[in-house]
Amino acid sequence: MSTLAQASTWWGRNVRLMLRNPAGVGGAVMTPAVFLLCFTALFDRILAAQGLDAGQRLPPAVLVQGLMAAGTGAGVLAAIDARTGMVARSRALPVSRASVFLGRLGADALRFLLTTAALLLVGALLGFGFHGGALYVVAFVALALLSVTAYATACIWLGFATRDEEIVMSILALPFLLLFMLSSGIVPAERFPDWIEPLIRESPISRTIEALRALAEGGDVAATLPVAVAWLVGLTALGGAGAVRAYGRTS
Amino acid sequence: MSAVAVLAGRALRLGARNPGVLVQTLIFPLLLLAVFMIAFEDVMPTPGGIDYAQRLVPLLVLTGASFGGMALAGAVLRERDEGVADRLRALPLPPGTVLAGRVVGETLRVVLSGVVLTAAGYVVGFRFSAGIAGALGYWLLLSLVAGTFALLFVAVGMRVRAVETILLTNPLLLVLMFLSPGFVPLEAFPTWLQDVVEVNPYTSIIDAALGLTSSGAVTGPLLRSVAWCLAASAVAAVIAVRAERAR
Repeated sequence: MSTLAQASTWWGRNVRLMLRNPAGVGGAVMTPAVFLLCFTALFDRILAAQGLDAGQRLPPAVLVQGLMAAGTGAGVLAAIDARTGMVARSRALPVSRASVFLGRLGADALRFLLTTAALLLVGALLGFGFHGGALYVVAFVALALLSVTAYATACIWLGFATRDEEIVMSILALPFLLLFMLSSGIVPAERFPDWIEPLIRESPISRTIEALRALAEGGDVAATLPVAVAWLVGLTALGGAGAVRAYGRTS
Repeated sequence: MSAVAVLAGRALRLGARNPGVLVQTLIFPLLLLAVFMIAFEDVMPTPGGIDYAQRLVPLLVLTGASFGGMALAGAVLRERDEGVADRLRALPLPPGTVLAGRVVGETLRVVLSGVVLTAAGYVVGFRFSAGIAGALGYWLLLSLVAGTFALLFVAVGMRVRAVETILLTNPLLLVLMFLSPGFVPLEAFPTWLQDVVEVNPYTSIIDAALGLTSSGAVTGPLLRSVAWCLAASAVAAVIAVRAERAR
């Protein structure tokens, strides 16, 4: 069996497990939508005072944040697999290491796709729209999925490395919210204090959100998209290498 | 009485050694204070000339008390599962001592975190500018709120059967936190939502704290805060006492 065929077997196992826990899936789908409603209510007037349209500005940002929140779930599931011995058993099988990892990530991608769809639906009700062609929409969704892949690989790495879902949950409960606040997701980078502005502007989260906004606008994306993709591919490679290594060390 | 003190000290030490409680009570609100000041101070409207830090500090005391309380409820539940609660009950103590000790310890935890958060608020611009009486009122209000949250979450920890049930309070706490005038002033909310914000108990408490430390009405919000706290404490006390007897 090729790595890909093995990966699809793992994928099937993970998807079946996921479907047996509909509450978890529902949470991952609904939470970002609720966050979007909250942030729009909070910032609609404040952003309007800055000459910004919250309806168009917030959905891509909250999508990235919501996907990060959903990405922590991948780390939790990886930790459970490592703790309960599932990883040890799969390592004893004559299958490639990457296939286990790809199967995990592929099943999560399905969940992330649902999150994205739910968020775009609520976003559309709040005034969000795509102003480019179908290609831009496809690129938007692909970039969103790439962004969560980068984050989820790091979470899976943590899950395999710690083998304790409680540690994973408590470590990952905070960063995504704080990192999101410290990006151009809500407030534009130039409205941050001068000393931190360059960091805000260059953070991978800001870069991703700006690229998603450009894709939704449907205009020129040459200035934003390549930087975002470079960041995300780099982070995914780093997280993936770490995750596969940690998987190899799990006993 | 000294038994209550010993048990309160035990609750306090357990909290300090529990990373979940420590992070949620202290680290998370401190980080939020820093991040909110950095991200939003520049764009936030300041009705009545009230500094943003002035709103944030009371909100973050509430945040630390509530999310830390959630971690505490989990710890109470674990003690029940592990049999520690039964061992404490086997001690020759008057009824209610264990419960009282835990509530006192938890109240102290929230008050201590309030002291740290208020001190950190001073670094970013929080000030007591409404006189000594106002400052005193602020600390009394904070203690009352601390006692209420302690009772509430001890009651939750004694009543529920599974950690998942405790986690269900998470979205509720987030909504209470966001839909209050601590994060964004009331005037910035959409008109239809302002009515909802005004009903939120956090709003009464934050408004009272604003009145006591800077400017604005004091009596109305303060009376509402006290009413909310007493009502919530009464319900929580009934639940906790009944859960204690039922064992």
